[in-house]
Amino acid sequence: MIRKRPIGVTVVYYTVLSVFALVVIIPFVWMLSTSFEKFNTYSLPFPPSLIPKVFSLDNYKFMFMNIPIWSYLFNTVCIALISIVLNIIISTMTGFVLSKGQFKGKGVMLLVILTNMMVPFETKLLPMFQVVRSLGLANTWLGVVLPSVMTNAMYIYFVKQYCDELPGDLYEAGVVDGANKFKIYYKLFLPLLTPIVATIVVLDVINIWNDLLWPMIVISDPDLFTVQIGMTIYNSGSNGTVHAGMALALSVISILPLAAVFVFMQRYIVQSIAFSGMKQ
Amino acid sequence: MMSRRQLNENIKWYLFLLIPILGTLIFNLYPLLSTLVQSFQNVNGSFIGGVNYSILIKDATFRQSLWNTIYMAILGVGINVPVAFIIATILNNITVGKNVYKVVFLLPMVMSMVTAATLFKYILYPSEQGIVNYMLSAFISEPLKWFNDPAMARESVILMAVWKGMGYNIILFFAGLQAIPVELYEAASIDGAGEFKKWVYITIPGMKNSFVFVFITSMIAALKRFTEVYAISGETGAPGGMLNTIMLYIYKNSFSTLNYKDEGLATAASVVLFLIILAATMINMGIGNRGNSPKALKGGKR
Repeated sequence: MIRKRPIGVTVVYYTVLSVFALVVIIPFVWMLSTSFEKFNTYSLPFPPSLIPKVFSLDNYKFMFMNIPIWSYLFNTVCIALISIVLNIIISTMTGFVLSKGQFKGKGVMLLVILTNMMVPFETKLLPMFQVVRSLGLANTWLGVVLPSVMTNAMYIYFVKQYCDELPGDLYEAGVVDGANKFKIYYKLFLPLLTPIVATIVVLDVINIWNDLLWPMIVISDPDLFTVQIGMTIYNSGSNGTVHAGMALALSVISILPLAAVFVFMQRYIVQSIAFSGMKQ
Repeated sequence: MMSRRQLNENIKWYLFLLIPILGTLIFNLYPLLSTLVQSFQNVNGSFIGGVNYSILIKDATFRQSLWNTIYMAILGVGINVPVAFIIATILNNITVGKNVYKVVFLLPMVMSMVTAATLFKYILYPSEQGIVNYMLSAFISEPLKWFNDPAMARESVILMAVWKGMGYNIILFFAGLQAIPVELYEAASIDGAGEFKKWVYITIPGMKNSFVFVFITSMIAALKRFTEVYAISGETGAPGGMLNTIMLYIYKNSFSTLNYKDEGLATAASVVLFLIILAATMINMGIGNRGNSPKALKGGKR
């Protein structure tokens, strides 16, 4: 039996949530509006408004002329694709073996791989870069991707947990049919791992897209800059040294790719975040 | 003794693990040891004992970075976590529009931190041209300087980080709330407990695991704060060094092309950061494990 809540409480609830929602939304609206505003100074138009007074595409035109945003986007998408593909292969294969494999030292191997989760990536930047450079991977996409992909114990752990809940008979059935280990992984288990693979894709896209520090260390060639590096270079000056309209147009373009991912995978994103919180 | 067949089998399994094991050696174990070794060396690579550490302790910039990082971590987590939890419980208690609000709260996630920093530099513009100062102009005479004012640059960064990160925590807490058995609330209702009592005696204890998880992850992220401050003021840590953080210090001393750098100091600072993160994690887990068994209300497995 559920007691009816007094109407006043409900009003307070919705008011709090709506105020919060407004705080989230207004910066977006303002950014969009101002990016379409026509203004000639380097600083912002006054007074601020949420609808452009004189609608114009000038900011975008100048931004595309002055900033190699297509190159930035292309590089970021390539890095994201490489990272996602490698992460899927490595995490599903390793997770499968650590869950269903039958060999001496499985527990120890799990522990060894999980040590990666205890050491924050950021505390070993210098030697990692020295390794990447000595492998000849400085200024390459692979150099950006490899260190995190090869040590990503979290995704491996997700897959292992997921595999643990799949029946062990499945593996035995594969053995009886005479399939080798790789075939059992590839034909029997991989198709069943789709939900967890989707989660990994979502989390990895968000991670790669947001990453600034490590790509900035590995990449010094402007032709290979990612969106985040490019934006930082353009914007890190103090107020007034960059054109506000162009900076805001650049910001709008920079959120479009992830926004598209969110529109199409909205359900998966909420699930993925919730999942990552529960499984650790 | 293992038979040859068994040995063969074992080797086949290990082949699958080749990449992550290699990764662990090359990109985790070696860099970790190398960080430790380099922290006892000078720029020429000769062993100098704990000199880097004693320089570090006396270095005003490092101390400022350390303090800024801890201050921002405590302020950020202190605001973000409780507010996110309250919003999540409110969200859980309404009937219409749950999903709409969830999507709205997650919107800042489509923005990278760099984009958010760009946007906030203009939203918090230090004159009345900035929309926040414009709205505040009814209440205060002078426009606030936000990122340009040493006295409030750190708080401005936290404002931005909370705006960007809160939705994520709301979703985590919301998911945790779904795992609390409904029967507990029903039983409490029969006993005549009101909404607030249920919140204090059922919801909060039932969310312990979510709290521990969110606290640890937010705390670790905050201690590694870099992108926010770098996107606002680059390597300078301006204004007045108030945006210097440990990660910025490490970055500058490892890779700077503009300033003097010292890899020994960078690696020593890395070791210090590693120990701080380790300590923070341990303290959080210690608090989380006190009292009732953590297994009893473990977040649901789906």
